[in-house]
Amino acid sequence: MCSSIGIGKKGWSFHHDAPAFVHLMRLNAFSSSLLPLWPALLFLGVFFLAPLLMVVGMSLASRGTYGGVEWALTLSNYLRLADPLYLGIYLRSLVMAGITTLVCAILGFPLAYTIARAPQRWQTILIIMILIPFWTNFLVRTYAWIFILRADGLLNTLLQGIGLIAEPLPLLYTDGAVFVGLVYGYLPFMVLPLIIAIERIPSALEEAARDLYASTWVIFRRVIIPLAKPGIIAGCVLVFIPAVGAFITPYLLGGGRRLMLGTLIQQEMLVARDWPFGAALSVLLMVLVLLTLILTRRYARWDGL
Amino acid sequence: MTEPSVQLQDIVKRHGQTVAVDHLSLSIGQQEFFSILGPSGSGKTTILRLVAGLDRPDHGEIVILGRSMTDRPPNQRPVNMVFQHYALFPHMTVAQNVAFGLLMRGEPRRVIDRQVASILDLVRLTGKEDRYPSQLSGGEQQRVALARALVNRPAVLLLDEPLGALDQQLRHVMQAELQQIQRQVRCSFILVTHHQEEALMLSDRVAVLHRGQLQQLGTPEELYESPKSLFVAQFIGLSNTLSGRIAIMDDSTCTIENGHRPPIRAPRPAALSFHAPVTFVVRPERLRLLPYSTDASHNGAINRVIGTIAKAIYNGNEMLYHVEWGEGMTWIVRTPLLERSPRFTVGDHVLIHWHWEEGLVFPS
Amino acid sequence: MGRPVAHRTPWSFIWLSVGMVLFLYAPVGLLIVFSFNASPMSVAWQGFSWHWYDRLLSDRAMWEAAQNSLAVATVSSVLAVAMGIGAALVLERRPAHARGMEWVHNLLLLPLMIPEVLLGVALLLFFVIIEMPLGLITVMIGHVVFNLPLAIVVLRARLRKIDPFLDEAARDLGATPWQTFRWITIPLLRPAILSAGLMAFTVSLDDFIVTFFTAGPGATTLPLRVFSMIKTGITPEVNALSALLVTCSMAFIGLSLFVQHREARPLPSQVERT
Repeated sequence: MCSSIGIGKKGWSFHHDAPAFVHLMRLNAFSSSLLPLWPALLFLGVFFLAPLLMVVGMSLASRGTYGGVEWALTLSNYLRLADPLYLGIYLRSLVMAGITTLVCAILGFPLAYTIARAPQRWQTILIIMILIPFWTNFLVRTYAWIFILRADGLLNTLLQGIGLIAEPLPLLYTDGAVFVGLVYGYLPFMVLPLIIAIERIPSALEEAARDLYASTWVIFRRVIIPLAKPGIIAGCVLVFIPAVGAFITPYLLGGGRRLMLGTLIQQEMLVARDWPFGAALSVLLMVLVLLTLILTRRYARWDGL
Repeated sequence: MTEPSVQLQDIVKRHGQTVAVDHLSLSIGQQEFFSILGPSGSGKTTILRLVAGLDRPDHGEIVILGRSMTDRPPNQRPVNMVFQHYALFPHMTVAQNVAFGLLMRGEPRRVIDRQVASILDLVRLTGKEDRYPSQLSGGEQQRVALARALVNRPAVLLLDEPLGALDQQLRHVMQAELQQIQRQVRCSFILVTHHQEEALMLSDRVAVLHRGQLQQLGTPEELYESPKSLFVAQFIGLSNTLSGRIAIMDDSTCTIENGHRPPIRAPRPAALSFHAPVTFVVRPERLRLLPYSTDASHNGAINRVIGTIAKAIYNGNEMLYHVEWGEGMTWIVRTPLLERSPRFTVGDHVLIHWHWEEGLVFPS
Repeated sequence: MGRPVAHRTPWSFIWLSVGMVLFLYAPVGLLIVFSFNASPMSVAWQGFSWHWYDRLLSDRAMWEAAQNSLAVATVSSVLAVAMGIGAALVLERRPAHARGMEWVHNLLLLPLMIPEVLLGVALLLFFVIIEMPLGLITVMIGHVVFNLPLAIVVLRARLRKIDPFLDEAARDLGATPWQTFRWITIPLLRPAILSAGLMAFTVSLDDFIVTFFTAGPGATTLPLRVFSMIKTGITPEVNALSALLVTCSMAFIGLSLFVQHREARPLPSQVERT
């Protein structure tokens, strides 16, 4: 039931060359310690991997005359992806996600540095303060911005109240609103890996650099940032991926017409009911995500998250 | 009582590409204090893990008390282990740690209480039953680990560098204690260590291991006095070496030549031919120093070389001299600080001399 | 130990950090404050009132949604942690030196990495194709998919701190694999189990997207309720519900972090080693 035999680094039932599945098959008395992995593996195989494969399958089908699905192999959905109408939406998604990532990095770095180098007691409190929004209801956090930005919202009322503007500004349902929502939503995703990365840099290195006549700016540019790079990249990936596939933020803050990839997929799936095309869009997003993960795999550091 | 407690028969164990144990056979007697000595990576810990059943040999048999245990899982073997870093259960008190094995065997509560109390008394931990491992000192943790294993009355107790984490002073105390405990519990101990002094001090017999192969097996005295290989000679104790070739041989002695240095007489090694490349070894305490003077009496049985003191280290009970001789060679000479023995200082010219029987010759 | 004193951090960084923390908390904070506003329409403050909470708590549909949310969160977090313990044990105790193992590891963590919309769409298609009626069960399954990797991550972090030799010591002392699991692994893992469970519970309670795609009629959860209230028009009731949800998740996460923080103290065997 539990992995007890040969747990050490020198476990014997596992040779270096053969792929894991061979060992998964070989459930003899001494390798039974792989057994506990099976429920999780089976569950995600059935309810995660299989659904993803079905999306791929669906993307090759075509839409029937009455809105159903016809299982005839076709690439037409993928050809439709190149429609300039949709190209604009992908571009918007990429640009919005890119800028969000950049802004999160620029805003998050000083915050992460401050936390990483704070005295122990403060550090714990501050990390918890970053973790709480990380885990609290994303929908509600986005809704808070509707409450602030809408025509009769907090900000407009305030500005009108102090007489700065006569008419309410159109703040909600703009790219700006979506952008603020994305940064607000994903900033903690950037800060946490950054804190871990910066904390790992011995402060003696900064002192050594200072001793060798480096200014604060040079220390950051030449010591901290290069050493924190794995964390910076991990943070960027953690912000970019959900941002490029964001749904709640563009849906609530961008309004119906300012589509991004996430909202487009939802619209095709649930509103237009064109499942094959929605599936093709999903495959596109999936490829984008996997590419990001694979390209950054070498440089990012995920442990400790 | 003649049956060995543990027999290893032609054991082979590989870790990936490297061979950790290479066709090893050993037999350990009951009540014997047996040590496995070797540098790190020599495969000594692997042997313990094989005996305990935590690893499984690729080849060979493990027999404990006359029964083959090769395929038995660790919980069905009459052996217990003291782990290198003790591996005390942090969520259990001292008493709970010690009682664990008995509890798993399903002993009745009363028996457990009695045995735990008596074993804690043996390792002098009475009164600390309710402490957690984190509240104990290193030495105390070590004793809990010992008690936790011994309480199960194993046929063999396995100790994996049990004193490695302790400081020098505590180490000496624990060595004495270990020996005393072994005499009291009368089961065989297999100690793994890289600390040669420890192995020599504690053991009845020592196995020297190198790259998974048994180099020599014998009593501490045998290992020190008559090492069978250059590795053992160099690994155990300090030794001075000189490489050269055999120039002259008679029935019991040979003469070794090395360039311009004076030839050295030594016991004749078996199965070595004339002119074979050899390494000569002599222990620092077997060498004597005399002030350099013109030679009075000449004796063919005594080797003499002329050198210069390069370093003189005062060690409390002895002097350690580094003597340079024969073109940049340095030998160490150990002399007890007796009242009348001559003392030398750096730069003194001296005569190193020793009887030819003190030397050892190994093939290079 | 060697930690630089705070004043070495540039002041500009510290002020920027204060700003960032305010930025992270102010919107939700304002939302909570205004959930007590007596005014039904505008954001102008018209006095403190429990009115919106009263209305919320007397709404039967709301209670139903709350029940659904609790059921989904409980079932999905328990299942995720139960399966996660086994997976974490194998992954952590058996270094991923085989290439296949690395793929297993990647597969197990991928649900955390991909955008939630993808997960929602994939599950929706899957359930429709296998003709499984959408309802609470499908929502629970969907939640296990993202809670399982989460549980694995938390449990593995803890396992990494537990001396692997403890298992061997137990086996050496005569414990069977099951006894080792029962008396050594589980007790040492307990704080992480609790903390992973709380975290999974919170994430499930808060989830909107996967629920949105996999919920059928009659499977409305609290976030779905919030969403439909936002869509049908902003009433102060949303503020009250939002405030309740945020407070709940903050409490659970706080609790989970507290448990985790306590467990973060090094284990004795490690203290000895360093």
